[in-house]
Amino acid sequence: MSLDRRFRLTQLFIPAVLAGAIVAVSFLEPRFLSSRNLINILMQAAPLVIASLGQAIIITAGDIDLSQGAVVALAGVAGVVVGVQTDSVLLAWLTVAVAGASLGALNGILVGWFKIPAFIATAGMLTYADGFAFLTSGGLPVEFPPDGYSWFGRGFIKGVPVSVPLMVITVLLCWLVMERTRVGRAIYLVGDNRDAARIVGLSPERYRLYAFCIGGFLTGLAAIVLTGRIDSAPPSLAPSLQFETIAAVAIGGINMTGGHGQIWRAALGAAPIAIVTNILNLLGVDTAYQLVVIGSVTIVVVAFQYVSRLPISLKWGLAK
Amino acid sequence: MVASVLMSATKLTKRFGTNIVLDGIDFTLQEGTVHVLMGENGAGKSTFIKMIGGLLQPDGGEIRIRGNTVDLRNPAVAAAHGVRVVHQEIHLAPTLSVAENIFLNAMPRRSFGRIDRRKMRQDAAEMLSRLGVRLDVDAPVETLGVAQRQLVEIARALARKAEILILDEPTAALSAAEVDALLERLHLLKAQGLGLIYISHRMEEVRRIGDVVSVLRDGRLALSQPLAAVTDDALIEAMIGRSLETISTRAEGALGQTALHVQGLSCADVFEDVTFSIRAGEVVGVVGPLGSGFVDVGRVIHGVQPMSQGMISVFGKDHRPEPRRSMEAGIAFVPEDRKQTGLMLKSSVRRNASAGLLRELTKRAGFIAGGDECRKVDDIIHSLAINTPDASSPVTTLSGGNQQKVVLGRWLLRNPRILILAEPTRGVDVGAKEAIYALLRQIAGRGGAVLVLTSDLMEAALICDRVKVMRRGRIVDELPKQKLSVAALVNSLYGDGGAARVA
Repeated sequence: MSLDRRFRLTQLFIPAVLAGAIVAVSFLEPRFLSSRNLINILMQAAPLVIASLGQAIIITAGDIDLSQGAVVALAGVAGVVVGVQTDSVLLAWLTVAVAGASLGALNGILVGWFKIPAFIATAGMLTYADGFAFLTSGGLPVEFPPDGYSWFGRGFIKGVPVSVPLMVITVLLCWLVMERTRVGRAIYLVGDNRDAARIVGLSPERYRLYAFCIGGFLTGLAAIVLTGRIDSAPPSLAPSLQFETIAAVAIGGINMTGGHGQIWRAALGAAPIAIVTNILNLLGVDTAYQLVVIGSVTIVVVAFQYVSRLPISLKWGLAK
Repeated sequence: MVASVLMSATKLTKRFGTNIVLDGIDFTLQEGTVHVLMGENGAGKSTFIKMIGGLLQPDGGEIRIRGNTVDLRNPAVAAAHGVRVVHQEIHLAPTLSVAENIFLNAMPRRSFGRIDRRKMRQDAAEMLSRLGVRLDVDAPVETLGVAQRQLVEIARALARKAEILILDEPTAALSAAEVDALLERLHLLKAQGLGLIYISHRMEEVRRIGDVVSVLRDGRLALSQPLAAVTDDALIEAMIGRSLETISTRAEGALGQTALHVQGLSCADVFEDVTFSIRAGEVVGVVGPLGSGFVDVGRVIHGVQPMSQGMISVFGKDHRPEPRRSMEAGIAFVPEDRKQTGLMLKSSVRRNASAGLLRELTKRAGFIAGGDECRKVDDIIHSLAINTPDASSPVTTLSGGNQQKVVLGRWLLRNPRILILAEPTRGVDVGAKEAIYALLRQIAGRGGAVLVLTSDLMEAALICDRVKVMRRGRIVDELPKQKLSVAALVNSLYGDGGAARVA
């Protein structure tokens, strides 16, 4: 009983705090609840949500991806370069997505077959992709992609930004894959217990690779939105993206050691980050302060969840 | 020596939720004596020693030490009252020296918190000499053998001025000669007036060291008497609740073709030159000392641990071990450690039970047929009588026995032709144990080939048609059905003249 109650409290915590913040801010700043601002928040949130889904899938497989920020930069640069060369929007988009998935696959191979801990392999990838993005772009933003490239970033359909339905569809698809397909289920089982999974014939290496490929593809998708938004590809576009997505996964309440937690929760976890950022922007808070606030929010929310989930004995510092 | 009561427990009771694991236990330990504690896995032995050692608090009853009622609210308090537990698994820091390990946490100090190494080495040498052991106090513990490490653990307990020493299956990993040496040393401690609580399953040892014996069964005291006054049969009966004859009803089905044949199988540093075959309808056991790696035979055949040499054939066909291939060939493998390698502990009962059947459950476009999955899992929950509120409950909410049934059920869903089980009833309550035994007999009766890798000799004697005995990684003996008994297995496994004492 008490376990149930604790669980429900945890689930209500984020929505409650958010609701409180929203009410408070709408008094302070009437513009907050305007439809324009709400659409703005969704647009801001879209790439973060998409990349967070990728991170969530990788974390669920028992790994972590520290290379997302650099992958966004390299995949974006590669795509825009291809776009400029071929003048094909489709080819440019495809390049970004394929580059993301390939870099993800490389992560997966390093982690699965070369047995390098994900923490280190993806940190290496972070540096590598960063450097490569600078080399490819000559250190300056790659500009003037073909017309229409920015559609996912700042296009609208009947007043709705394209990135918003893209985000919604991505959440649904990821949820479907993870809950209903064999690959998704195997990712959960491998993330829960690699040795046990191997015994029942599920190769941990293979499914961790799949998770990294899917994660890389989603990072590429986020890169299409991010580069589209500014219609150019700077070699450092979202350098700390991986930390925001990890925070989103943690805030969403997905198990950070893998194997547990529904994937849509990553979107739930990205929401407070996007909303708090927007609020601070509206209130005209300096960027440095914004970082401090978002960092604190992340730590408080995650700490609350961890403590509320601990069995009583652990809370009192007693081992079982 | 005037025997005075060191420790006593009255009406000691412990519950976990609604489950009563210890029910009104009375227990007395005299100075200078060894009180043997016996009982099957899950009988409540470890709960009992955890309460004496301060790791668990009783829900009822009281503990007295030297006549005073004590509240052992944590291990430090228990230690202050002179209680020390030497656990089955050895808890030493491998890179530190013998002396450092003995005084870990309590190193003698000089001014400014500096460690007084000279005193520490002297004191360590003294502790070891009380045990009658000669060891280099500067040697790193990792250079010592298991038996020596055990002695370091005991010396460490002595260093904390232990008066009540609890030894949890101290000989599980020792050879016959090492057991002799250890028992001699324990006699020394006894003579020094310590009270020992000694947990073991081995009759022979128990007879040599014990003064008094208590047997726990299902959380109750089944027997408590001076050892000299009880026969081995009476002890066994007290442990399992009835005499052996009544349950040794093995399936007597006709045997079919050879299902599994293993020839000269070796696994580097674990076992070598293992040869046996199992026919359809047969239950074959391989026994060895707990934790000695012999269960890895199963891991190698299934393909989760590499083989270094040998040949395996399944129904006459050459088998290259790899989990998926093994599964396709009809092999099922229940590993020895439920929590480490058996279950996905963060997942539900359903996801655990269906984990080995994902490929078969996958219909169009990689989607899992949810309805089929639910139906199959519900069926197996029902047929194995797995006690769970429903299939979506987290698997950790189940008792050990029911968790083990989930692992078994996962494999039964595949209708295996060859079932390999390592320590199938470790940490499982008596009821579930019976159910698992019945199930194995049933599977063999229907023509399945069953390989049981176990350190539980009673289990091997009960359910197997024949048993191979493994010592130090080699098969040294085979006991056919007619000769199979716990005593014969003890003899064969621990041998070296232990025979006379067992009989």
